[in-house]
Amino acid sequence: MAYRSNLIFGTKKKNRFLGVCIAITILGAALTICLLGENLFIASSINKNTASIETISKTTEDLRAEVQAVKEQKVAAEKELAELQDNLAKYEPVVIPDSMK
Amino acid sequence: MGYGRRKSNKIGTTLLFLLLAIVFGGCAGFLAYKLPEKVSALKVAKEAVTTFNAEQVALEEELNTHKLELEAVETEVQNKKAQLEKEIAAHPSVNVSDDTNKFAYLTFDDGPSVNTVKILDFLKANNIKATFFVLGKNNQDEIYKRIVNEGHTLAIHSNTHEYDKIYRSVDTFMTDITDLSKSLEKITGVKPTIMRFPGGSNNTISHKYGGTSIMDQIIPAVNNAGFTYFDWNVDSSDASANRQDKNVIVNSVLNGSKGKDEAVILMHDAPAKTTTVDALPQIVEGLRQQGFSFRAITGETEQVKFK
Repeated sequence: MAYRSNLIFGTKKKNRFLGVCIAITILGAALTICLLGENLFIASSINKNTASIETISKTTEDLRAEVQAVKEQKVAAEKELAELQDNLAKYEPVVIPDSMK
Repeated sequence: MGYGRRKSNKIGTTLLFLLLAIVFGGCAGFLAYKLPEKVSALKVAKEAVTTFNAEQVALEEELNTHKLELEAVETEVQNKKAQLEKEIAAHPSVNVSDDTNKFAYLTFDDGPSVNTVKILDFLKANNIKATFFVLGKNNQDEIYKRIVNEGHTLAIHSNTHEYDKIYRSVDTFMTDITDLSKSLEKITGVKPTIMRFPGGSNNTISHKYGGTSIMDQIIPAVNNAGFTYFDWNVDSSDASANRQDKNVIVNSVLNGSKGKDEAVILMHDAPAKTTTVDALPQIVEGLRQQGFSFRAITGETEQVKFK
């Protein structure tokens, strides 16, 4: 009883338990504020990055579609070129190599 | 009363701070516990952004490359169109306007020989691709290789070309072509998949050695082994005589090809077939005038077969 009276509910003498509680409260509050700030900062960074990912992935998708479209255009142009070359070949004079002369 | 009240206040204060200590401690603990998870999520998000950025840069580069290539091809198309218009105006006799998809497949059986070399020279000089249905011959590796290296199709005819042996049974036939296929693959590094039956798929000579149904048995075996066989729809008639007249060969090919969109032309490059070589320039010129372009037979070519 005497110990309890001194430690927790002591009156004139210093109350160590109260001091410890105050210290923990202050430290806890400071730490909580710091951690909360950091958590908020990180959450905001994640949100920004997520937004960037959405934007970039949309751009990437558009680019992929554009690349595919250009590739298809190129294939069509190459096909047209091959047909033109086939047709032009019909006008080329026949070449006789030396081995057949 | 004064002492009791102060004591009561002190207890209240202590309890309040105890409660606050517990609350803040708990909050700090909870936030500290959650922090690594968020840091890790942020790291993942940043990595994803980096990856997407890199992909975007790569795609932009790829797009630019393709655009440049497309531009080059389109410029060439315009040049060729202009060139073709000039040629059409200058040579109205050549039939190109409505025949952009007429293909002639020059095919040569029974080589290689000295004639094959001449034919290869001619095809190279005129930028034409053809198909060679070859036999198994010793000391001809360079010709086999040249056929492949110059973009022609090296196809199987027969290892021995001895009808009495190959058409005796399905097994003897399959052994013959498989041996040749393996040998050609070893020499050239390319496995032949196109073949032509000696005498064609409807030949009757085989009946003498393997019975009347021998071809009906061999054809499925050939298909199952992964070969695609081709007969022909234009006969140059160069096999009708030991040394056929050149003009007969030319006329046979040009008359036989008329009205066809795809002409698979049977010719021979065996050692005796010198007139076939002589006929080639006129054949090519005549086919071009009919509007044909030349192709080698591939797996994509529409099969021409008698049965």
